Amino acid sequence: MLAASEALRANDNATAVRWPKLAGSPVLDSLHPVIEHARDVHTHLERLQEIAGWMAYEELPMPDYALPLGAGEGKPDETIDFILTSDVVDTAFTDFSTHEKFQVDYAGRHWSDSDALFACMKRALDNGIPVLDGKFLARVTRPELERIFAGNIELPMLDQKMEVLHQVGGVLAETYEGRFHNFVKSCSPRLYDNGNGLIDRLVKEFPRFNDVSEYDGHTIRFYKLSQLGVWFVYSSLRKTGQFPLEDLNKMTAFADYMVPVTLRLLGITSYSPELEQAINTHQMVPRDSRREVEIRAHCIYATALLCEEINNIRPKDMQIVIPQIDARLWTHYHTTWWPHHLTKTIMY
Amino acid sequence: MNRSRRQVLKGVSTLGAIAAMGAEPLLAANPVKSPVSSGSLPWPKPIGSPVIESLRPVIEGSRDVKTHYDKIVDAARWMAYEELPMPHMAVPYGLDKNPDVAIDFIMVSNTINSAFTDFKTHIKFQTDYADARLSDSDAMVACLKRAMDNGIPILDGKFLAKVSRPEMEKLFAGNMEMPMLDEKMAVFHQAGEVLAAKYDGRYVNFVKSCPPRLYDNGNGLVDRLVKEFPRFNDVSQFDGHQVKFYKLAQLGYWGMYSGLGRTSGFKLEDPQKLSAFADYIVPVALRLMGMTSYSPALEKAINSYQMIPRDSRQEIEIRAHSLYATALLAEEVNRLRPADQQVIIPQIDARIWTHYHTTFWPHHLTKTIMY
Repeated sequence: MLAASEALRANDNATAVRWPKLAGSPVLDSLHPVIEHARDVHTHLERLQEIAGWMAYEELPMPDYALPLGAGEGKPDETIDFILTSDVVDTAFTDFSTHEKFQVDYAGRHWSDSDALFACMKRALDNGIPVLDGKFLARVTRPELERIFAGNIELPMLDQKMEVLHQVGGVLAETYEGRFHNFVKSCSPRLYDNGNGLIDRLVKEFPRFNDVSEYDGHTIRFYKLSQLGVWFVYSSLRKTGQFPLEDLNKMTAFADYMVPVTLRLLGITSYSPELEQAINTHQMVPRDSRREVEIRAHCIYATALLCEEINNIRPKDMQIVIPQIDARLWTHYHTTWWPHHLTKTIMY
Repeated sequence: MNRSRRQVLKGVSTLGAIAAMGAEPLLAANPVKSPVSSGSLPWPKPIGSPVIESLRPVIEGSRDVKTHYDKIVDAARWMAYEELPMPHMAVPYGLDKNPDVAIDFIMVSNTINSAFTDFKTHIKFQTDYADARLSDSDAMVACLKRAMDNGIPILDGKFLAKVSRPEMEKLFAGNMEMPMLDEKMAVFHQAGEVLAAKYDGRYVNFVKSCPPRLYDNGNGLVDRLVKEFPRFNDVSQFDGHQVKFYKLAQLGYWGMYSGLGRTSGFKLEDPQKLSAFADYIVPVALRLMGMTSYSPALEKAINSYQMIPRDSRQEIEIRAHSLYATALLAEEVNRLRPADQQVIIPQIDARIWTHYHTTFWPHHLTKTIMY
């Protein structure tokens, strides 16, 4: 099947697209139909190579992530629980009507967006609320969540977040003694492993992580939060050696709001005038729409190619994986005032 | 100082996010007007920097280095939307608790802030201090702090004026002899004598005797530093013109401004007159991004680690173009940013420097105490 479609593409010179050599990522492998038929988003190979020509000489470090306020410090199991449980609701921090960001003051510091979520989780733990326990999460009530996430505004999409916590909590309670680290230990130390890898099983056993869209009858996989959660755990525990990951190179970029902005500003991607205008006038781009799928697919495709071009330039002992590029692109623009696409979803 | 500049990385991540929110998006992605032109040469709007004003003969008469204005405009179109924060440069070892000591420490270390790699072996100077192994200028700074801990009066001009070679060797004990140790001793002697004779031995007294401006009709902080302390008079001759770079002088004040500015321990009314700091790394970044290019001969000389002599045409062109191109880049970036998010050149310098100071791409090699 795959071989046949590969051959077909090779014969069709008019629409031949360059494909990253990286194989074995079900996310990247699923993007072909979008990249080949996109109407509103394009990736520009020449520009991408030009950018790689200077970005390759930056340091592009492997990040070491540290949880805020010493959460999980020295306790790998708790680190895993903290990161993956937070990851379940790590989405939508800006009120869709007022455009106000969710913010919290805790432990003498001010936190906003995703950092505010982490601070809320730590605050709850400090107050003895078992927010890392599936048995608690499976039945957490709205008033309890309001208290856990008390901040400047109600946490956006709180009802949807309660729902996914119930769902995830139920699975954890039933199968994994309530804890994500038991789930992690039951998987093979790989992202993908014939259905037994960490990502394989996260998206199968927890529907909340099954971040896919349909496009022209094809299933397109993004797996944003599942990959991001595992990456966070990996970069938090990398130095301890407690979380080996044998196929780290199969991780793609995390298809979010910011990396597409970076790619667009760098000129690696471009948008149709209609899409450009829609984004710049803050119109909603509906979840699962062609445009949303194209923005996210090109984000993953372009970062994979950029990573490959950069590795072609760097010496053997300085090769990088895609999340290092993702981090480079994300950190430089996550506070930009250039508008990003707006989509109401719990998937990113 | 390299150490301070590296701290920039830490400040980049979180700050300034809130400030960005209220601004209307500037969606005009096309900078329309070109800068003030003289003939065909784009020239940045005057910012009152004698350094930048002195560059014209080099930019007009360059043979080996070219600046590509179209590439600068192109880079500005994405760089403008980065945060480009005003760095908070940490004064090393918490010395900012006493601003006077901090000023002395920054200036004394700045006096010898150059050449940390052995020119023959290419080994970097390293030392161990406070349970850490430090390299390059970090190691030099650690040596000075170690000396202070041991009661050696390294902030006192009277000591520096007469420091002996064996004392220098002890001060800078590390993995090898500090490169250019004799030259560093000579600048300590020279600066120490001036400090002892006129400023009761302390840089802070010199700083306080100046108006809080870099340039002020010959009386400003940079004006007087380069005049009274020849060690900071970083200038070169090019086709009969004097070209000013003032790398360490400007960098020292920038370090004080961004490290002490918030404690009001150091006032500076005209930071917008700072140029970039003409060093080894910023030219590499500009060259890699295509904003500058080199003649094949110069490219080959750099990439094969040949020495580029101090005050040679090639060295001057490399440094002059790095100041010229960053000034143009700052101007193009500001064209695209809202009024409350305008940047000054050192923010661009920091952005470029932090991304490439560890690069494996070769930089030019020059034996000098000026940078």
